Amino acid sequence: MRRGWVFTLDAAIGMCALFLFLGIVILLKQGTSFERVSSFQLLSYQARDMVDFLSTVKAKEFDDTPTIRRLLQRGVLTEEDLQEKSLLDLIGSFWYGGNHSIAANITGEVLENFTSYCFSLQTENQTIYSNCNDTGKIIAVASCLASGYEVGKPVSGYIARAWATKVTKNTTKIIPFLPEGSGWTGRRFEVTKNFTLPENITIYDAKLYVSAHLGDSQENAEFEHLTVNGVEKKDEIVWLYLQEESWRETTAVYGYANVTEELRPGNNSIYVSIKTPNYHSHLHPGMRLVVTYSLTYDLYSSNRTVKKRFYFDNVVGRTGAWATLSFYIPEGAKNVSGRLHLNLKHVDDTRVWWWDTEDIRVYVNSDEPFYRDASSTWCYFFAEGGYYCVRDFAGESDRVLDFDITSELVNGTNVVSVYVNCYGDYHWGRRNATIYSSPLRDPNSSSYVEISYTLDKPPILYGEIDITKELIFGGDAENPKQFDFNLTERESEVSESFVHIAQGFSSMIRTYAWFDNESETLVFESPAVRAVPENVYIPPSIWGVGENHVKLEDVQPGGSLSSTNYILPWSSLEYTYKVKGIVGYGEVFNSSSLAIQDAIQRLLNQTGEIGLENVKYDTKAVHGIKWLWGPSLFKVLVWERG
Amino acid sequence: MWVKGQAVTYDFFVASAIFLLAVTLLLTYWYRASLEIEEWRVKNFALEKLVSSSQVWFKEGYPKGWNESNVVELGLASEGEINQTKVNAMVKMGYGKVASLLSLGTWDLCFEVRDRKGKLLFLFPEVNYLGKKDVYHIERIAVWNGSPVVIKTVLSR
Repeated sequence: MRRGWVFTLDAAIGMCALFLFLGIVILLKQGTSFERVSSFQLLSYQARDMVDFLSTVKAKEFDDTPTIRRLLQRGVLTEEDLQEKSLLDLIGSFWYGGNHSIAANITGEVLENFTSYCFSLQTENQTIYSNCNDTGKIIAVASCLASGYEVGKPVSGYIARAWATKVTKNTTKIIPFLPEGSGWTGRRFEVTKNFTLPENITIYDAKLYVSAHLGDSQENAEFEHLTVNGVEKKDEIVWLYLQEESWRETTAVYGYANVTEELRPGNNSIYVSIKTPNYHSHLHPGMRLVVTYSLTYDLYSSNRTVKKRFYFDNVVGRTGAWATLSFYIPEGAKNVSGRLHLNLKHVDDTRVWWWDTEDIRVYVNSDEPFYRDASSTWCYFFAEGGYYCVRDFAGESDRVLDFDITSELVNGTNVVSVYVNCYGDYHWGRRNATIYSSPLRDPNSSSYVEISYTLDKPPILYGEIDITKELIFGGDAENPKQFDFNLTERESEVSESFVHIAQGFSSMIRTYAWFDNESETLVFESPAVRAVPENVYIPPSIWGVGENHVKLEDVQPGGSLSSTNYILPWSSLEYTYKVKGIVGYGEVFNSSSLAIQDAIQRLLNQTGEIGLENVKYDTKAVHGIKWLWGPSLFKVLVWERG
Repeated sequence: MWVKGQAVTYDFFVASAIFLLAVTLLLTYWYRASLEIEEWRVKNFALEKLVSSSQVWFKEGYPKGWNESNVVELGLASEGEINQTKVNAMVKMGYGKVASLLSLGTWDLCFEVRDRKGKLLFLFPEVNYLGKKDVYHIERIAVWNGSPVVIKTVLSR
């Protein structure tokens, strides 16, 4: 009992001592807490002062700091900038203009002298500048919203834009002749191409490349006529390449004639007449007219819906007629449709016994015939070394054929081959089979392919000027042949591109294109033997600014490279690029005349060698261009050094 | 008999020693805690006065266009900047009235204004607080005549 009482008294004394001790500890804790509150209060005032200071004080007050002084000397900043801009405005201008290091330097040079605390200036969760690497336990934050003017620009003044309505451009037009025939064993083969050049042009240069298969030597060439608008040019051809087949007494020839004097704006006509003593005279891939001229025209906008006709040449083959027409459908084209219209004259109607035999054969992007006028290909026997299929002649007729070829079309290069009373090297006609075409006088009765399609946007928008150039491959005749070329930044917006294939003998062609070190893209492969187009469309999306590449291969039906079918150095790349003949509002100037001068100069720089015949402009006054950057949240964080 | 014998036992002396030691430690701790609490109290008061005194450079006072005869609340700013007229009025009315308006008690106040290169632009009052026992200060950044300045407010006694 007594022991228990003593124990209780001890416990009471001990508890009192403990409570006293705990009370003192709690008081001490409160003191620490108070210290923290006081510290945060001081930091908070410091952060708020810095925000107010940055957004109030003009940058002019700090024109002696190293970074601002250097910017003034270089002309990046003007005295007006410094007088008008607050420090935060200046820092924000550089930061949001992408000059982060300048913004950081200015912040450091301005704030370092004003505080001994650690601080950091941030905007949109990015640190512009911080003078300490570590962060404190207590951080005070003050913030403000700011927006500002772009550096070097007056805050009010005049802006102007300009656009050309009429321009003069130097450009190139390439008019291809189709691979086509034929004249068998000394019989005449004739081609007439009628075409139009713009009326208001000045022709600087016109070169007619000739690619044909004819007699085996100059004496025995049987090159009868090459007339341009009635002027004989046969003897002015500069022959560049001859590849003879002596056992047939025939030659693949390539040359050119300068026809600048003979060509004229408007309608033109070129006529070719050739023969060969043996075998088969015809035109090879690579025959084309290249005209460079100056054109003055009013700028326009084209339609999204495109309808085009690709006409056949007028082909008169005295041993049947054939032609390989190539045309293109651009990448991205939708709702594509196509129609093949053939007006064939003097077609032999042949028979074997009482069976009607095939006289017309049409291919569309395939090695399987799209159309045959009869299913039988019988002959009584073969004459002339096995090349000529002997049949009965049952009469002569004109045939007008019209086909919907929509289902056969592909985006890219399309090839239509038409054979009338001939299908080499198997059957050749005896009379005057004609693929009729006279697009200038009789367009609807001519032979043509008509396509239509819709694009996502018009090929030419208002203010855009299209320039076409041709680059000759050069080098040697070889197979395969690669051509490398550079596209400049100015030529970066390519809208169309083609490779013009120049060959002597040919079989089937493969065309590859690629940019820089990217993988090769096969853009075209002949669908059938002898389906070698004069030109192949290359999607512009392949090209890029820098080095680009094209490779051509002539291959046999089995896929192996042809050993004697060369790609000639006069093959070429044709590309059309767009230049904008319009410039938007530019910098702010103190007077409207200065703003207009600037807009016109920008337009001149952009259009380069294109002549601006008629330029329009407008100007307007602007004030307080606060939207140039911001509004953005700026935060100043302050904490004690560790 | 048994009470005396009980009191002089070995256990009694050990317990008494422990008790006295504990009491001594407790009293020592209590003394030091009292000093610290007093120091906190002083510091609390000083910091409160320090902050409120430094704020006079950033507020307009009452009435807004006060002068030395009608001032109720001291404030030296107008429209976000230090107002030279109000600063002149503060100097004119003297330190005693300023200390009274700010309820500084036994504390002495001093304002130092320097430009960003450290050049002294303004000192009020012209006193030397070096060597004083309790000195607290705060530095604030403000704008005076369009230029940035650092205002050091010192409280001492």
